[in-house]
Amino acid sequence: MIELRGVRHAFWAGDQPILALDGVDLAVAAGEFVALVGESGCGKSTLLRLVAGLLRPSQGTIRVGDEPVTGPRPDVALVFQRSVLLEWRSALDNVLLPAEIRGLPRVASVARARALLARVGLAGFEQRRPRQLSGGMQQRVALAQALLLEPAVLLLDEPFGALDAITREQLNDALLALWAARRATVLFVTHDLAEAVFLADRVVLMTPRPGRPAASFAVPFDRPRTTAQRYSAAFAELCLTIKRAMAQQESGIEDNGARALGGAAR
Amino acid sequence: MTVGPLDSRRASAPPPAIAPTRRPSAERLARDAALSIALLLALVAGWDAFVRLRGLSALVLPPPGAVLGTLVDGLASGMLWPHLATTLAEVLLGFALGSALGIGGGALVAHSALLRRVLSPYLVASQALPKLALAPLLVLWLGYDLAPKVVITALVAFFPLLENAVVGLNEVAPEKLELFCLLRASPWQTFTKLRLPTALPYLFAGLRVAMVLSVVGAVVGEYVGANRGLGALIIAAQGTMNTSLMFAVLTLLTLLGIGLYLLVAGAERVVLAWHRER
Repeated sequence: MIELRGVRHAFWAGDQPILALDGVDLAVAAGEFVALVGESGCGKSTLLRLVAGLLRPSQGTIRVGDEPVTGPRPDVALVFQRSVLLEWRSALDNVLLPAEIRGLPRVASVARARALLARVGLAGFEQRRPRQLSGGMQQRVALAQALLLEPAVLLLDEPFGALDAITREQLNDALLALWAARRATVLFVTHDLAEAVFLADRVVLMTPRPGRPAASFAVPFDRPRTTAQRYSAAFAELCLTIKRAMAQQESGIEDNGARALGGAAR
Repeated sequence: MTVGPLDSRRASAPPPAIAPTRRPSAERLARDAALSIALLLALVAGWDAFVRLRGLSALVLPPPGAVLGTLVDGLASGMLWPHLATTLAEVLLGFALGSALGIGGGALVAHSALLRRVLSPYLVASQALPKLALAPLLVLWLGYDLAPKVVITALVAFFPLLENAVVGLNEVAPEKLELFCLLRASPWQTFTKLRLPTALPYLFAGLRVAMVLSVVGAVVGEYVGANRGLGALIIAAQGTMNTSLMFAVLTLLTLLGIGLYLLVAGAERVVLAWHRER
């Protein structure tokens, strides 16, 4: 469904060229839920924007559903870390924005928008404006908005990164429930290993900048995922395995202090 | 400046407790209003006493009663109305024209980085130029009718809106622009559904300033050359040494300015209800 081959992306920060991604090969099957983890600055967000068609790769090819990506596509949705809700619109009208931009009649989408808001636990909050909602509620609205037009590919860029742990777990559950109903192909960027393991079929670890997939970890837990699984020993074990792989990467490039840390973890 | 004992005491004092924000009660609002009115009455009484005690001629400073009398007579006899209507027309036309051009120009400048770079020295220069100083030139070009006053008023109203439009239209968070790009919104959709609503608080701030400046613009335009309008009336009153009429017209101008400002502020309250939430 999503395929990146030999992707390289550089951008300018002032007068300094920065190589964000280099030699990225990654394939995500249709209906697969893949979490991308890695240190901040490893190009995870850049990778999502390349798949979304918001950025063009400097080199390499990106395909979504067997077609090369040349720009934003109607069947690819992106949820941002920071709220992108429009403050002057109600929750319902924010969810309806994609349909409105597309020129679809409002009546056709209202029922679906209301249903989506109910599915993310916001029934009764349709007329509230973003400033009257908590951060977690705002991200629920953003999720409903991204799902309005039933995208085949859902990209999420640390969507719950700014939320507290309890709210984040609630939103993880909400996301999985929505995803189970209609399995879109998901690429989920996070820096939270537990979140990655809880949500994904597969966790892909990126190298530090320039980023590329370094290792892939299959998540063996059954779905639907439960809170009991999240706090099980096997779950913690997998998180630790990924954490060690991350620490090893660091020891390969960092100074002696970091190397000692990696050695201890091994 | 030396640091006095007061400053050092303030520095060592604990920070003030944060008062819980509470909706002011009706009683408090009534009390504040009563105090404001009492202050006004005290000032007027002081003015009156000053005139009487110093035995000032009404040519220099008329007592408040005389000013009020002139104002009421002028309104009752219908003498003031045509002047008020003329000035109001100039203010509203100039304000509408200036703010429309300011917002339109701001949209163009905000839209094009090239335009912004090319025009910015001229915008700075035009900001530095005192617009009111152009009044004699405009009267020379456009005559003594409505046109030069509308143009000068428009010029005065134009710049606050241009500046606020450029700032406001560029205040959009980059993620929101990415979202609109992702949704494949047209430039027009991005403008009307994203940039313009984001800029509205800035535009209203500009409109409030422009509204008050518009009254100044129209009156100064009339000072330079007009046979009708409140500014022209002040000049005429000066010629006939009718100081009481000058005060009456100034009072009327102040009330006009307040009324127009409140209209814009009221529109802002309605349109920007979402902006005041929480």
